[in-house]
Amino acid sequence: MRMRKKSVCAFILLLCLALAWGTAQAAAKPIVSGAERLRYAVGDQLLWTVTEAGQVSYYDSKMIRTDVAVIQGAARLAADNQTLYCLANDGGQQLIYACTPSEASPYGRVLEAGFTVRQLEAAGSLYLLGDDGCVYTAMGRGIRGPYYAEKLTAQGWENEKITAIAAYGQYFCAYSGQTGRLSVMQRSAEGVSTLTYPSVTVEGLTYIQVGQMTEGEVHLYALRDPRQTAGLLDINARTGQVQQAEISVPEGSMGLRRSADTLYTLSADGTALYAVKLSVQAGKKADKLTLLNTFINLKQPSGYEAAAFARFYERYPDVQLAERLENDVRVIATDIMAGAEGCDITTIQENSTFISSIDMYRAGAAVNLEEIPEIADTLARCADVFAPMSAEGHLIGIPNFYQPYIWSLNETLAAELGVEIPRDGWTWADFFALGETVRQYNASHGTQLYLLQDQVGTLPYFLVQYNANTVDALRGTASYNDAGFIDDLTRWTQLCRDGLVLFREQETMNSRALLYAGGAGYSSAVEGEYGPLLLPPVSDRQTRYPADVVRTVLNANSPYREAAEYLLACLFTEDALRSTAFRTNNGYLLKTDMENDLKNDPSGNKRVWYAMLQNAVQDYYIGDLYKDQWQHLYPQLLEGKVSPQEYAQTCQMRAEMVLSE
Amino acid sequence: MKSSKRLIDLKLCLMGLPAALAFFALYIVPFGITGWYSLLSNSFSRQFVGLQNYTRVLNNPNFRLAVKNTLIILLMTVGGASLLAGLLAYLLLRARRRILALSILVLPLFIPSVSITTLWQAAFHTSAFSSTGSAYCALVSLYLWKYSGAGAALLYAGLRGVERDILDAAALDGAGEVRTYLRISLPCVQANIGLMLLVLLMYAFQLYKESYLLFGAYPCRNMYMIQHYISNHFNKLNFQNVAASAVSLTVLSLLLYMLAYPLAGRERGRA
Amino acid sequence: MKRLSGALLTLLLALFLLPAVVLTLLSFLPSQTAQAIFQQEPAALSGLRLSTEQFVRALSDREYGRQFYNSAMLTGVSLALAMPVALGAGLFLSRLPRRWQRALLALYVLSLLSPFQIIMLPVYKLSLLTGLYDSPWSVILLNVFAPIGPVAVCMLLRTVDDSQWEAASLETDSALKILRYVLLPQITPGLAALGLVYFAQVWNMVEQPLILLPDARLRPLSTAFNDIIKSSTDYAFAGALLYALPVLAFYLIAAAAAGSRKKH
Repeated sequence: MRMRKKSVCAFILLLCLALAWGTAQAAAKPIVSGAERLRYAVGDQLLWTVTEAGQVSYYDSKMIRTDVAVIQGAARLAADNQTLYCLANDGGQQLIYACTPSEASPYGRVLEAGFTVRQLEAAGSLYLLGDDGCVYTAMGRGIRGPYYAEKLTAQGWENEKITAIAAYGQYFCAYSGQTGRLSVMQRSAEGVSTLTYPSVTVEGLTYIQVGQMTEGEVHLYALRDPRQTAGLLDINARTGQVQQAEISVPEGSMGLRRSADTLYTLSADGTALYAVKLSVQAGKKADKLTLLNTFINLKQPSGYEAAAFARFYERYPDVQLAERLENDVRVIATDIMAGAEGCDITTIQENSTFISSIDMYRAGAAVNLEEIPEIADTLARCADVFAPMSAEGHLIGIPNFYQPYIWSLNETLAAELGVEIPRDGWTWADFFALGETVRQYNASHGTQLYLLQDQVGTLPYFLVQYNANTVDALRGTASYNDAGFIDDLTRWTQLCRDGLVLFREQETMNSRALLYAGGAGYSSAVEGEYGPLLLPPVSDRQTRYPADVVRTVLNANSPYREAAEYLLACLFTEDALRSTAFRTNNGYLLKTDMENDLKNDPSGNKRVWYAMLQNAVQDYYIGDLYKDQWQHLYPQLLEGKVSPQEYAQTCQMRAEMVLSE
Repeated sequence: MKSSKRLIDLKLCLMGLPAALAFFALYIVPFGITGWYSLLSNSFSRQFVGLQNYTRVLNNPNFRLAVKNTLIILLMTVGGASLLAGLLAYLLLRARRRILALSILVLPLFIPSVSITTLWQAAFHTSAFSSTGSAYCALVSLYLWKYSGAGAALLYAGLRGVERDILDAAALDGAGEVRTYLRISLPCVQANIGLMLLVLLMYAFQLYKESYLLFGAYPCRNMYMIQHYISNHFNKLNFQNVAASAVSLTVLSLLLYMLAYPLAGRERGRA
Repeated sequence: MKRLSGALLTLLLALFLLPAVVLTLLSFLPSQTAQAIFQQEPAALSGLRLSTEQFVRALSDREYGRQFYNSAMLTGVSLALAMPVALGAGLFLSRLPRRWQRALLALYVLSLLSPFQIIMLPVYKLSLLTGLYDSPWSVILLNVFAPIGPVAVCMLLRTVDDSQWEAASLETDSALKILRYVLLPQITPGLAALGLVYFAQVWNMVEQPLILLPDARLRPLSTAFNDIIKSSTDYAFAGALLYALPVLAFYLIAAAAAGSRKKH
């Protein structure tokens, strides 16, 4: 009986402790606190803090802290993407440090400015609010040169003394404490010149931050005085209407910064940092289009994207565009099949997502874009361009990113070796023969030259090309058991074992590599950043050149299909395709443009680039076959645990299983 | 007396019927919806296509392979775990520190699969390209480690209730311990054995999670189970295939159930 | 014979305990060392030292604490409601006429053996329809009315002689009293084992909360564990141990209580 009572008491005590602990965990608490005063900044996925002692740390999404560096005299912080910008005072000089998660010793660059920085903001550009009441952008000279400040002007703000600024996404806000004037401006790469709405007047604000978009209008969050007792304010930037925000921050909070879904603020004594969720507690939801795992940049839209959004909002001012990141396949699949919110438009990058665009199309989940009238018009003018990206003759997604893998030649080394490599028409047999030449040269001269520096990605170009050409996802066939492939694979493996291939070893081009293979954008490729381009070697005349393709697909079950169709149509105009930003990412081939473009091609690089595009092929997701190759099979091949025959056989069996499922 | 019986029956209904109805609403109705999906073209256009999906699924070589592999794996896992559970229950009856021993046996149930499969991956060097032998060793050993303890606990719970007199009488008649256990104790706990088999079968059908963690979505041919087929088609948004194979799987399960039912259905005092 | 069986049991228990011991050892190493050992890098052995770093990281991870709390709440509430439901439904099933019983049991068993993915999409849609989406109750209700409970109770109750029921029904017309005083004492060990199985099932569930609880703050630790392992192994091993031990403690206490009750 006593034992029983003891056991029951122990159990109840344990339960109470668990509940207490859990409740304590769940209750609102500062997310970061300590004895020292803190400064903080918020990037997209990282929260940065700097203590009084100068310890720079970042917290990831799971609030796991990593100490990075020490910066003495840190005064102002701002963060953008994965970079922390820290303005520090050093003996009268203002230094700006750009710190990344891997930067153990960031370098401080002098800021050449005749003012003291009161506030620092980062959103695409680095913005400085000076004690003179003006806003500047900080531009750096070279890699280690000083920063200089360039004054920004906005229409109607020439004579205002600005006391607070905020920058988030496409918006930049300015506030003048003297006149109470508050404006929201459209941010762009050139400046902040376009006022979104006329200014409004709100007295007594100390901190401002971009808030939520509600019913098509921009709202701001604001705090009123250093010992604010008015609570967090929600201000309609168009009407100037001020009301209590639906979310709240602790009394006496200082500063307001935000990420996509969280608002951050410091305690009155600066030693504790609080976080308040935005998405769940925000007010009523407007209809919204969700872009799932998208490559379209909502926060920092490029020129053509910004134009597309502006056009979209003209027709759908009340529809909110939202981003969503989700990497669990089951969740995405359930949402798509159920026609739920949250996956109206999704991005597919074949070699790293859960489904191929072909499977999505065949399942009926992907809308055939030719069904959208505006897109059909554009397509009619340039259908041949998108042929490589179509499935069964239908365009099933807008390619946002379409880049072939380039090959380039180290001419100096080629001359030293006494070899001539044609810019096109050479085969893998020629490549392996070249490997023999390099091997003999190394042996006779005691050098360590490389035949190829392969920066293509997780698998070497040789296999990427072979995978893309061997597996026909449309017809459901694969031909890994080809004797030619096994021979080539044997010779490739030998090359790797002989140390003639540098694989993913360094970011920059190695001057001791004869050839370079990697991904590159159109501009950098054709302007010679990689040297003279050549077409990659091929197995035979039917071989096509693999390209990395990322496409945006419209979910057929989207509850906001009409709006989603229109958004895609806005992104797919001919102006968009011709825009610099689009072409830089895509190297897009538009026939009339190609003909014009080729008229000025002194290096011959453009000809090579367009030849690759015209003869491109993309690989499709074949049930993790490629991931399993680079994680397991390819390392085992190099280690000799698996023979080339076994490699080919295994890939063939797997491909057959996936394609026949 | 009749009215008393009716009153008891009414109270039984009040106790059990709402729960049964809730079960219907949460499990049977969704299954019915799934069955309906098996007659549609896909979850997007939703055109009625009759038995087309069944024809496609049943003719698919992968599906047939999956059914065959599933049966083999079920036999190995459930059979092996049952035997091991039987042995463990026997040993538990003779053990001194039974609570400690039981705790050790059920501990694997509470360790997340995601953590423990990392150890198995290291021990067996599993990957999508593991050979059949090593894949079977890895998966079956993981299953035995994780779930036979639960089976032993279920069996042991019933064995504890076997009347001492019967065992003493058997001992007097000269029956050894093992024989007594096999010929007398176990037959007395057939319901527990049936329950144990059911639970082990349930866990075997959930083995896909561990298999996915060890081998990925496409393991070697002999490890490709029906759950792989269902899951892969789910991820490819082919819910109609999922539905058709689910209904087919149900028929298979029904056959298994009908085999197991007589064992579980035998109880004392009921004609 | 007894010695042999004792030795055999000890050996088997050691085998059962071995993975847990390895997990424990790995959790008491610095996370980088543990990861290196796990990836079979021999150089890692030179940096071997005991450390509570993983535990500190796990316990100071707010998200881990919150999700552990969610796991405890979901499992506790589900179990507390599921056992009475299982008893009621199991008793109801066991007293049905043979034909009805077979049919209903067949439905229960078939749904027990079916993977959740089969009904995932319809359940998701139903939860949206009923407004239970993004509410812990969607997950709790699925577990409370899960088929395992009624099936197990029905099978256990059918081992009890019918004559006992008849005799008891002469004394009282309360089914609850018959259950409590006549049937329960005979099936308690089986119920305890069922409770254990049930607990483990709910504690380790992954797909239901993944699909029905889009708000990550409501999700249990079992769902998040996959991400913890994938994204960072800072405390993967210690996290797993912390995840399992409280449950084991609960089991030990409950088993001790049941054991001491039996003695008296």
